[in-house]
Amino acid sequence: MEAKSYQEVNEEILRTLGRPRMRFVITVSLLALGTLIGAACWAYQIAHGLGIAGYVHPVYWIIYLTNFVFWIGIGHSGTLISAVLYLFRAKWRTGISRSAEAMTIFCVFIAALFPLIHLGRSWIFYWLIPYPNQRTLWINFQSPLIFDVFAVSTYFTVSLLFWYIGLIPDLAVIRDRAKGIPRKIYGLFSLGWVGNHRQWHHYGTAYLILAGLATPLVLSVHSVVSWDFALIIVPGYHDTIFAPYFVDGAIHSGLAMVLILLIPLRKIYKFEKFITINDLESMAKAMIVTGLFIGYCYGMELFMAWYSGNRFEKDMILIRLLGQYRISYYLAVICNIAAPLFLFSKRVRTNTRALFAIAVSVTIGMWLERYFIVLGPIAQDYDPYNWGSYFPQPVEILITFGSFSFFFFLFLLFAKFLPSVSIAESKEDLEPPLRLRQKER
Amino acid sequence: MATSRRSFRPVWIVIFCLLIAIGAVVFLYGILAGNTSRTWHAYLVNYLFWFSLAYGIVLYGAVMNMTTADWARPIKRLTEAFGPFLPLSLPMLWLLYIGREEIFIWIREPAPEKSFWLNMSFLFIRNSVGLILLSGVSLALIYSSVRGDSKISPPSEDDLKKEKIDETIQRRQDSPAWRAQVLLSPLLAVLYGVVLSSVGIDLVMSLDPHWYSTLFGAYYFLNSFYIGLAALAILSAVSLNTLGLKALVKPYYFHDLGKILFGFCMLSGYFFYAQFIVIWYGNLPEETHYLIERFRYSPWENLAYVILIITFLFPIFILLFRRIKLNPLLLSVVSVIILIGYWLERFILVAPTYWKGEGLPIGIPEVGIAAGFFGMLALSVTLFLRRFPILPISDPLFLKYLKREYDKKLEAERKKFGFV
Amino acid sequence: MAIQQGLVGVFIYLDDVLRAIGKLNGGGIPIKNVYSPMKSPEIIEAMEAKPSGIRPVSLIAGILGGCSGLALATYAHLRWNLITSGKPILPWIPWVVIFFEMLILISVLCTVAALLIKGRIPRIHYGKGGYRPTFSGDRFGIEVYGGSSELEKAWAIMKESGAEEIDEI
Repeated sequence: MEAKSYQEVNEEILRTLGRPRMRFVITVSLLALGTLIGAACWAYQIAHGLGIAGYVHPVYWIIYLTNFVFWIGIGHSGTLISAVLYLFRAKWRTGISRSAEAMTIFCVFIAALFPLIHLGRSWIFYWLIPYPNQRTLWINFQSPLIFDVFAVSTYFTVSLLFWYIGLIPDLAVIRDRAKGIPRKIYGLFSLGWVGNHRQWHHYGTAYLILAGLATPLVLSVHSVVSWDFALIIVPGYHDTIFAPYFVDGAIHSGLAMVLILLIPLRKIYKFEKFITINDLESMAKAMIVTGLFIGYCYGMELFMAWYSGNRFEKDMILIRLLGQYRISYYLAVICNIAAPLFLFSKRVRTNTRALFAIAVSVTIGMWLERYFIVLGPIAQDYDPYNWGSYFPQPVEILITFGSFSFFFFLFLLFAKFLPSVSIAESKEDLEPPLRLRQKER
Repeated sequence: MATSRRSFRPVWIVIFCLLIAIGAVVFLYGILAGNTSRTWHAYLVNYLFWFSLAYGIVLYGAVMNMTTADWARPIKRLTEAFGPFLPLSLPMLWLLYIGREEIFIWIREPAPEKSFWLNMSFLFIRNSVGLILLSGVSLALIYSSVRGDSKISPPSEDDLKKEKIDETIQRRQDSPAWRAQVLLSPLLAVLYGVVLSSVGIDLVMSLDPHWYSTLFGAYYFLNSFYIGLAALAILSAVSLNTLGLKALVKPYYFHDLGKILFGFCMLSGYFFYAQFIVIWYGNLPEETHYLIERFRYSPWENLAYVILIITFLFPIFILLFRRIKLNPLLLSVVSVIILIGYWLERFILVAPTYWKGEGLPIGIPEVGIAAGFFGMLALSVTLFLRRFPILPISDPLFLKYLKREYDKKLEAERKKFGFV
Repeated sequence: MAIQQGLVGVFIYLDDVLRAIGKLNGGGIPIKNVYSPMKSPEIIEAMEAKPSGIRPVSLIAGILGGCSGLALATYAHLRWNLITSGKPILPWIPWVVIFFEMLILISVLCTVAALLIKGRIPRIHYGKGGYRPTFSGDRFGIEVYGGSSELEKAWAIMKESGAEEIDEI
């Protein structure tokens, strides 16, 4: 944190809320177009059924679930940075927590769309909600899909509230500097915050409690998503290691996505004072740890498949290494495990281009990992007569593309209309203005 | 100001030697009197518990280096004090070779498809190599930490004034001793994960050769780290008066340690649950028989609930309270209970594989051998702390900690006289 | 000079604010609000604020929320007795997840509600009274109400402590 005064903090951060330049408008329009393409494909799919999405017996969980796990996973890193690091009082959190938390909300929102897309008949999603209904049906509370409903909706609500509570003082700052209609809108959302001592006191306690409550969600939500697979007795799904494996993979891919978002943001908005190279380096170091644990999990799966002596487990691993999805496996190993090893060198860690490249590689690798984990075991399970072959279809690819466009679209809108660095927390990090210091100078 | 010259009194050395003697006597008596199965398994349970505790706490020192955490710097030497105990893991592993027929079922009834992995020579070679590497790297880390300290004198209050201190910290960060620690800490962490997984799989999971769980290795090394933290809490509380660290170890240190303990309690419970729910839900006989034996059959069922309460439910609840975390004595009591719980947890993993009788086999062999191991551990800690400087004065993060505390003191004084 | 209802003093420096708070409290003049652009533990300590009552709310709401999740699950499974894969009708093991998620959800909702209630937000007429827009920028403020003699004393104290400007409300 190298800004000097509160006024400077305000001005630097609020500078980004100014009039959008042409390149911003063009980028946002292109991303909106991408989103519309994805939405159009979804509409096409609703009209024509899941068959055009490549669903074929027995492969019924494909790219939409890959995307679901992928997007939820990315969201976890945001909560890790904003909630877990807050509890650890880590200094490097301040510049990045607002953007990270916003990233989480958008990721979880997009992730929540995918089960709907995957349903085919998306309009019947309300069958998953436990309420007394005319059909006199209740949901099966021991199903992992229901755990998902509870976990994802809790995660979305908690992330949204945590982000919003953090935003309230900053919205008050904007309200006090805006005029006209923007003033009314920001005023509405800042809820009449004035920043008196009572409000700050309760705010501090509430924020700490919210951080403490959001922290276990980092573990639990992605574990619940992993149990969607691990509780199924198909070799390749039924592994006890899935829960920590997925959580760690989530943090790994999430850190990569935070780097992908922040490195350009920092450059374009000239936020080097708030998001220092040390912050980026700390994230890179965390990525080494998560990458190594993923390597451990890959190794353990291979070993245990052999050790189990179970014919089907061994075959599953052989199919993974030599079968139709082997390219995605090898690519995932290279992108997830080998690429982050370069981060052991300080020169790589402090070079933003290298960091960006490694982050992109990890993102691709993690998507591919979800791909071969979700598809492989069900495509070829116990009985060879039941095996099926699946190839990605244009509809799915375009919807995936649409989801990425939608994510960056939402994030750019956030960066333009809301402060992407937390103003109140940046001010807390500075030394308060003291007459004593003035005299000393 | 930043020195500490007190140490453990010599009477403790005598007491610990006595405990070791008791352990050895109980062990030998058990072997010679023919109660071999129970004695060897008691030895195994204690081996697993005490060495994983020691490796866990040394890992915590490495973790502190990697996260550049300066709040716990004064107790850095306490985490390294378990160093001399670590190399003993090798001869004590080889001792298990004598009792191999009693412990490893797959010697008498080999599992042919696993015989590549589960055969005596390979098992002992890979675990020995792993433990040599792990204890070697741990000792190298401890050596670089201690070597730096014996060459430098402690800083005075003048040194802590603003301008010179940043230079000094920079100099210490460039010193070879610190650079060695920065290099060795992540290496230790990686080795710890791999070696302790191997130990867990080979010495615990293989006792029931037809059972497997991919999470078992990670579960084992995470629990070891957790019990290492609990041991650190106890040792920190003891060292406040015995080693004169009261001036440097502030109450918020125990608060933070309590919070970390709470976090790892949740993590350990989570890892346990992750294994449990997958196996319970899948209901596959090849996986469930292991759990059913430990959670549904007597006499293990009641023990399992006791373990659940004292290792998970009790710490989770009690560590929510600030007053408990701030009080070193109460925190140590909670830690002792957690350690007992995890000893019982190792016990329940191992014991049902050999004990088919009535009642729980917890008696003189188990407690006596536990006393022996505890004596060895405590003796190594005591001798280490008597020999080497208690404070890590060459550590740049320790200097940062001292500077931070000094600045806080100045700030507090200014507030009293300058503000109002 | 008679002063009507209240005063708000605008300060640049934090130590001035703390000094003024100390003197106002010592003089028995009740301070209504102290505004700051960020959370200041020093101000909160000087105002001798009681520990925020949000913590017990979160804990109790969480436990009740978790139990309500379990209650819902129990009710649903008793009403619609579907035995799936040989598991018991009321299986507590998977319901640990339901308990946990509901605990977090209800606890968070109640914490936010408690914050809104205790912070007395949302508020439409936040500007009435001593609030000045600079307080969200880089200025601190002290808002005092009372009788005319008290306010005269307060005016003097704030001026002496180094207030940048003092306005009547």
